[in-house]
Amino acid sequence: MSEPENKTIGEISAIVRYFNMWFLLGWYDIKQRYRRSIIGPFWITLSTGVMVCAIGFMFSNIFKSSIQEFLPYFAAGQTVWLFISTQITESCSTFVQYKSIIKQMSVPLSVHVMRKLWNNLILFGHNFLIIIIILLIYNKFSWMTLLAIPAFILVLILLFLISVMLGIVCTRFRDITQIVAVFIQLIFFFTPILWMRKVLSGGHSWVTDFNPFYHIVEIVRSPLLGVAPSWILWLYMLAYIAVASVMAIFILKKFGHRVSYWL
Amino acid sequence: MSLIRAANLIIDYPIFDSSSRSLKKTLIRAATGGRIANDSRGISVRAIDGISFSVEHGERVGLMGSNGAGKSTLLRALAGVYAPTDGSLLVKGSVASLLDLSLGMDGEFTGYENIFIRCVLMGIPRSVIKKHVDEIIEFSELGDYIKMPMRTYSSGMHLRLSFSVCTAFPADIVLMDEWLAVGDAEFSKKAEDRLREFIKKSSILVLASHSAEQVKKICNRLIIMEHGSILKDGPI
Repeated sequence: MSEPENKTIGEISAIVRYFNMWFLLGWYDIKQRYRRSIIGPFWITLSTGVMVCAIGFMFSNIFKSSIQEFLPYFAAGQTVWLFISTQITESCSTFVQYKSIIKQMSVPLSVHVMRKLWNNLILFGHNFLIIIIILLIYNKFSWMTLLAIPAFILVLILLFLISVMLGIVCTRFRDITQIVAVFIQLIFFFTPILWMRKVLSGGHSWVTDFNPFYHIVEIVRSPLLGVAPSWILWLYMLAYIAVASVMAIFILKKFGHRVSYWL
Repeated sequence: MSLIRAANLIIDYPIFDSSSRSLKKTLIRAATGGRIANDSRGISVRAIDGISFSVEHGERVGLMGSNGAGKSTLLRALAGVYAPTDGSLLVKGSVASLLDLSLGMDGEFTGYENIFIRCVLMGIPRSVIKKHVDEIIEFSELGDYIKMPMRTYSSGMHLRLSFSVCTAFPADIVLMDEWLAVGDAEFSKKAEDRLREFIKKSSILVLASHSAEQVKKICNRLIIMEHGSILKDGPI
């Protein structure tokens, strides 16, 4: 058994050591969900696609912005948001969901978190088709688009850390799962996804300026739309990751070994 | 060399009802401070009460005791599921836990896919699984059923497959809750041989059982537990 001092490092290296496990099981989770359907997970692509287009057309009218501007903006933002929000909401019940395994064998917690994250990443991959199609239609691709890749990796790291924290805390306090779900729903309306930042009149821009979720969505969305994210966004992301790491390590060290008792 | 060493091992289960699991109650408790502080950690049950023992290479340990004596908890602690509440527990060597044979298997998947699921959970690399998959299928005698979803299997077929998978890869330490008996007369003879072979390759066996006869047959050391403590520990 690993020494307590090495435990945190053990959790990180477990992601590599147990790659086989989370990769295959996460993949099978998706396979299982869509087992008897013909187009499988592309149902998600379809439903998100229809939703994005319908709402895109409608709200571009409401906000009186051109469809060329609004549809790619909304499609990119909504798809990224869908990934982030689903992962955060589901991270709360990760350990509860994989209870049967946790109660039977010793697998580092980060492996279960990776399984869940990989799960949602696969679904995001299917949704990403929509972004590609819409960006192609409106000719938004440029070299700038590539910046979305490092940005997305930062988002993944942050999501992983948040998921570790929420997973552990929510296993102990089941109510927090519900609080997070409500909170995430609310955040959607306070984050410029369905509306654009410029519609906020001067005095209200703080809603976005101090909204971490805006920073997280924007750093991926803006390169997709051909604009380099400002340096401050990168700085924000690194700061979030730093804070989340400290918190995740603390919670993992203090309570990680208790999770199996709480299930 | 494989080794198990427990020193003063204590395992407490916290008991949660809906109220102690809720955040509100905890916050109120924190706010009200010392008045009900003795209640603040909730109720817990002491499943393992400060036991010490060590098991070395070659030992086949039979674990006996009435229901609730702490046998299963001890097995799970050995499997690394429960970290000691107090004291220490050292487990050196790879562990094969035969506590739940069909862990992770899913009825929607075919038997073939389930072999991979189960093996991956045991930490076997894909390339190694691929090498052994034919042997596993052959032993399970499932034939073409292996390509069918597992929900179509009878419980006997289900057990045959999970048994074949779980005993395919030897490990240093084998944990078992009751001796496994699988399938009809003919298969069960075959399974018994395979299980004995599997255990022979291992370095340490810990078998929790209610059957004194079975323990006598397999084990060379007997630990009797009661109320989370060791009542008797000695060779058979």
